[in-house]
Amino acid sequence: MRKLQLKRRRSLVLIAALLLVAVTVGLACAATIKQMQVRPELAIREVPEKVIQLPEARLLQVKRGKQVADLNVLKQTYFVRNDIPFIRGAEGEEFQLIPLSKMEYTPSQAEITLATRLPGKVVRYAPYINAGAVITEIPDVVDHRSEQTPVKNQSGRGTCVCFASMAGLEVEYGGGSLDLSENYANYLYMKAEGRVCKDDGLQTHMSADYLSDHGVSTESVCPYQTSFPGFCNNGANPAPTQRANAQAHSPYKIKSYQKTFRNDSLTTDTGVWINNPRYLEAVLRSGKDIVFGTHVAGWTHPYTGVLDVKLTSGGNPLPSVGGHAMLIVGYNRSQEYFIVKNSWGTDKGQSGYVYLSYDYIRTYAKYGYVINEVEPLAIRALRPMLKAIPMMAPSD
Amino acid sequence: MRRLVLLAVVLGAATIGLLRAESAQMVKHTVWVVPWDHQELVRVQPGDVIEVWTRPLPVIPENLESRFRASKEGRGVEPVGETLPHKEGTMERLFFFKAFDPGPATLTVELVNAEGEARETWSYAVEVAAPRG
Repeated sequence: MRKLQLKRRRSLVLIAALLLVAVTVGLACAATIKQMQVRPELAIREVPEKVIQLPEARLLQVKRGKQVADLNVLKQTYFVRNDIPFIRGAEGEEFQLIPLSKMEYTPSQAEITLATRLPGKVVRYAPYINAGAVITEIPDVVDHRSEQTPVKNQSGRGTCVCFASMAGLEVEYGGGSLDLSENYANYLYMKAEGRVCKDDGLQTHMSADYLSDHGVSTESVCPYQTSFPGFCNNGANPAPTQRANAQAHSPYKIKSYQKTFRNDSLTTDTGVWINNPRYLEAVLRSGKDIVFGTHVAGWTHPYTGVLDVKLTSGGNPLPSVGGHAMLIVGYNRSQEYFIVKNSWGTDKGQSGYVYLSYDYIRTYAKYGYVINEVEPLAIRALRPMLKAIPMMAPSD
Repeated sequence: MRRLVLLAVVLGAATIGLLRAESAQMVKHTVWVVPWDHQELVRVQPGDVIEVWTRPLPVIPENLESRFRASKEGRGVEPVGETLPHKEGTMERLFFFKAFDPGPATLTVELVNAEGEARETWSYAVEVAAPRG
């Protein structure tokens, strides 16, 4: 009897304890929900404020429309909202800071760990990628232009990521006359981003993820449309049929890739980073090209010379007008520029290619990736084997 | 039994403590996100931030000389900064305004050409409400 009473008492206490916890959690949740009540006409975001130390990086301070560069001010602590750093002035006013690093994608630590490994073919050139290393196997000029498919024109659409990634994939499949569908790639990317039927831009490195999840078709299966609404055409015919056809004929796919991100704290050309020209040289020397995203700043029509960093009157690099994706296909070390395949047609730049200075890459390159392998077996991978087969002497 | 009660008390206290600590650390700001095609009145409180997204514009040669420019009318709202979205392909801007004092205001975003002439203009009506209580 006494045992039973004790058991009942224990149960009661347990229930009471659980109730206490549940009520506490419930009250807290209710308070949070009340705080975050959404007014119907607009989206609302509650953003946490945190104080972090300002790194020694190139910064622009935007103070009520005027750009001011005063490092003494910038060395104060600042807070970050929506990944955008702000300084609070003496009277409580807020000044926004735009370091280049904050204008970019911030990779996680796991992504950085993966991205700082050398892609397979580049390992051989690893000793070269750091400043001060002795240059032995790296030639002064590497130029893969002859291996590329023809330069295309994205026309009036914001589809540069599709063109850069398809150019990278085409060359991995042997180049030549292979013409992959940027329109279908755009559909895949926007669908993966939850922005179906849009023409809305993309973080370039994400295209590597999407192209390893899904294959793409050739241009003939799903042709590019120069105006938008395009591929989806808001659900109207013939897009759905075309899309189904493209899905059924999409064998071109990335098997493995290596992403590379930006490191804003680099003071010398060191490490596996997109803003290290030596790393990019090593990749190109290994026979690979780099799909990459960059800021566009200070480009002057018709983009024929070497595009270099231009400074504001305050001594900062010109602010970016927007992000653009392209394919790095070569370099010239003595003249310090990279050869980059663009998608603005052959009448822009050097027959469709632009030259970006090493300093431009150091300042504005954001991220990129190298395609290690494609599915099915790339013709490019077969080339060395084909070359190794001894030629038969012609019979008499 | 006592242990059980003690455990429950500790658990409850820990939960309350954690939640209090969390809310003490998190200074909340209200950021109103205004898409470029927004038309209704934007009602905010002093201290709120209004984040205006401009229309996406493809990064192509025809647009490289174009710029987005933001301005305001009304004393209660001030521009505090601008930035780019984190992606490639388009060149829209995000403009930030902070609401300081109660009253009506109008935010204007212009797409201007190389000569500074407006190609397109968008306006957003704002009402900064008097602070509560």
